[in-house]
Amino acid sequence: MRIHDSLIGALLVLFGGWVLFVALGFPDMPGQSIGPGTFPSVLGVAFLLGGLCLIVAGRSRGTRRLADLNPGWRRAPRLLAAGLATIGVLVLALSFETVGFPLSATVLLYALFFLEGYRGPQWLALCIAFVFGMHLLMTRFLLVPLPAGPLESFL
Amino acid sequence: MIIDHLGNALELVLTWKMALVMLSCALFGLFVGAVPGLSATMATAMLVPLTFFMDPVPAISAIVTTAAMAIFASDIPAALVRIPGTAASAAYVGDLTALTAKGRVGRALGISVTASAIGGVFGSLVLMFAAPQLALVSLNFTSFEYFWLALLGLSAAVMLGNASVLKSLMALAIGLMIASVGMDTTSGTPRFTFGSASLLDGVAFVPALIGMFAVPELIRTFVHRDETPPVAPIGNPFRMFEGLGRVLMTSKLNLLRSSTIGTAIGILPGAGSDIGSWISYAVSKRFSRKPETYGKGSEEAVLGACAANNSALSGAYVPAMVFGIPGDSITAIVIGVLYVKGLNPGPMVFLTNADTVAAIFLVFLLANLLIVPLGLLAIALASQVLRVPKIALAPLILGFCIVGSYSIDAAASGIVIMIVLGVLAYLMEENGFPVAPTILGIVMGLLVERNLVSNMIKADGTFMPFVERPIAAGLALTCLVVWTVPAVGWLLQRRRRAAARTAAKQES
Repeated sequence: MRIHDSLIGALLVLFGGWVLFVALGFPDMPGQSIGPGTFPSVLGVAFLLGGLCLIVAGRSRGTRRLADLNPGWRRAPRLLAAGLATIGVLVLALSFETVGFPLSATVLLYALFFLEGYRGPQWLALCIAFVFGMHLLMTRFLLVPLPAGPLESFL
Repeated sequence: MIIDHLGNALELVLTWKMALVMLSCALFGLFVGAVPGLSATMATAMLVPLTFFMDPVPAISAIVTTAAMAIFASDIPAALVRIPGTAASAAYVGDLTALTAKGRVGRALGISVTASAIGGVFGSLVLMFAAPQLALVSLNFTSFEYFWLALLGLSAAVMLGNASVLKSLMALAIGLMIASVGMDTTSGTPRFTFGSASLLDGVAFVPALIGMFAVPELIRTFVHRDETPPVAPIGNPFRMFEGLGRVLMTSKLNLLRSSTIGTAIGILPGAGSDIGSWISYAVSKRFSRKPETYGKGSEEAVLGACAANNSALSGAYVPAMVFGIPGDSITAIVIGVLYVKGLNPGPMVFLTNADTVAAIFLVFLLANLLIVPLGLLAIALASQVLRVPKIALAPLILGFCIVGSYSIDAAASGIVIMIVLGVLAYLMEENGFPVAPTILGIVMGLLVERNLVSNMIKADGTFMPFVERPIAAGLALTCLVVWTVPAVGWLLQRRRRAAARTAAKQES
């Protein structure tokens, strides 16, 4: 997804302004002219200046469309797969402790395989083997407490 | 002198017990390093309880061998699926993946394994023969020197890419901004946390690293799959070394320079091992005859940065052994084990336990030499991954990313950080913003800010203390050169072009 430099510049200017606004609100250290807001303020100014430069550079290259989508994004299964790999993982993260890794990851991975065209019981078996194998490796050997959710007593 | 104790040290090292410990730890380190998302620190930390039951030399050898192997092995997923294991290997991950895309993954990993071993051996030799003297130099570094050094590392990250300087600067600012999320280290004020308790500790680095490199690659695999060329398999692993001798000979100066830079910067506690390979990458590019190939699959770039990466690791043991100052998390673990074993780090340990210290130094050397045969084995096994089409591998890689991001703090917030920063990195890369400066910004942000704030307080509003001390002045001058040379070069080039155009007009 390509975005015009002018638009990115404008977004950076807005972001820089917000950073500066928030950073200037941080309290100074007693007896000092600097504080927790000093460094973010410098960054805020950098975003403002950099954003302005990008707007100028973008405008000098002419105004095309503000955003260009790669053809892949227009194909539903691919869009769904990318959405699942991002928003789906966010949902998984939010329900990680309750649903647990084995169930949520198996569903997520099989859904991705399905959308890519790898369908059938052998792919589901692969997902189950991978996820439960990872769970065993992490919890038993590497001592990482991956939550098992409802399968806690079983695993 | 260490050399006087080598005979006794050899007796301590050349035993079956040591061989067994080193071999099993090497295999363990290779395994953990090669799993995308698992880190060398995690591998070494897991070994600590086992070291309680070992003698001092096997205990240290377990940690050192595991760390060296895991750091090398993290180059394997970096090349195959673009997930670097450390901040240092993020410097050359672009070249590794570009070589893989060109069907030269075998050569890329062959260079990586050889350069890692050479760099590690170089750093170990320096550690053996010059540790006390070098550690004294590193003690001259105050917050002013650290500030300039961090700035030099950040400047290197901006200058080393092929993207526009403005976009690289913005990418760096994004990284520094991410690093400033969390509780301020000097005043304790929460910054940009949006009320989230999990962000008070800041943005975890490992999920950020996984997200910013692996997630864009995954999105591209899902969406732009027609544009991703199939990757050529490695074939016979022993053929990885074909023509490598020539590459090593033509780049011997680069190899020596990078190993020296890596060791020298690695010695500096706190910052060294992370920025060693970044600075060496930038210097190598500066002196290269083909700087335009850097970032696009340059063998020279991988060779230098890999050597610097492993030599920096050995360098980090210098302040650890001489003063007990950890250079990074792995050396902090080593120091802990040394204390438990009664080998309290400090100048006296070289006198009171000279044989044991010499044996530990020999272990450093052996661990780095082991990288070659065992690294080959790991590459041969990992190469099977390339036989599977990337699109079929993508969901499983995502599974590794989820587990890797969760495991570092055992918190689901790591997964959120991984995905959010991954999407940001995808958008950045699609629009010509390099990700490498952002990663270095995240790593170095706290160091830069802490030193800037404490220096400003010390300097009381004046600039002179920043450049009063000789090392600080030298580093400041180097920064100035790094910033101005490209600008001057650009201006001169522009002038030359204008003059050529005028001459051409006059002729016509």
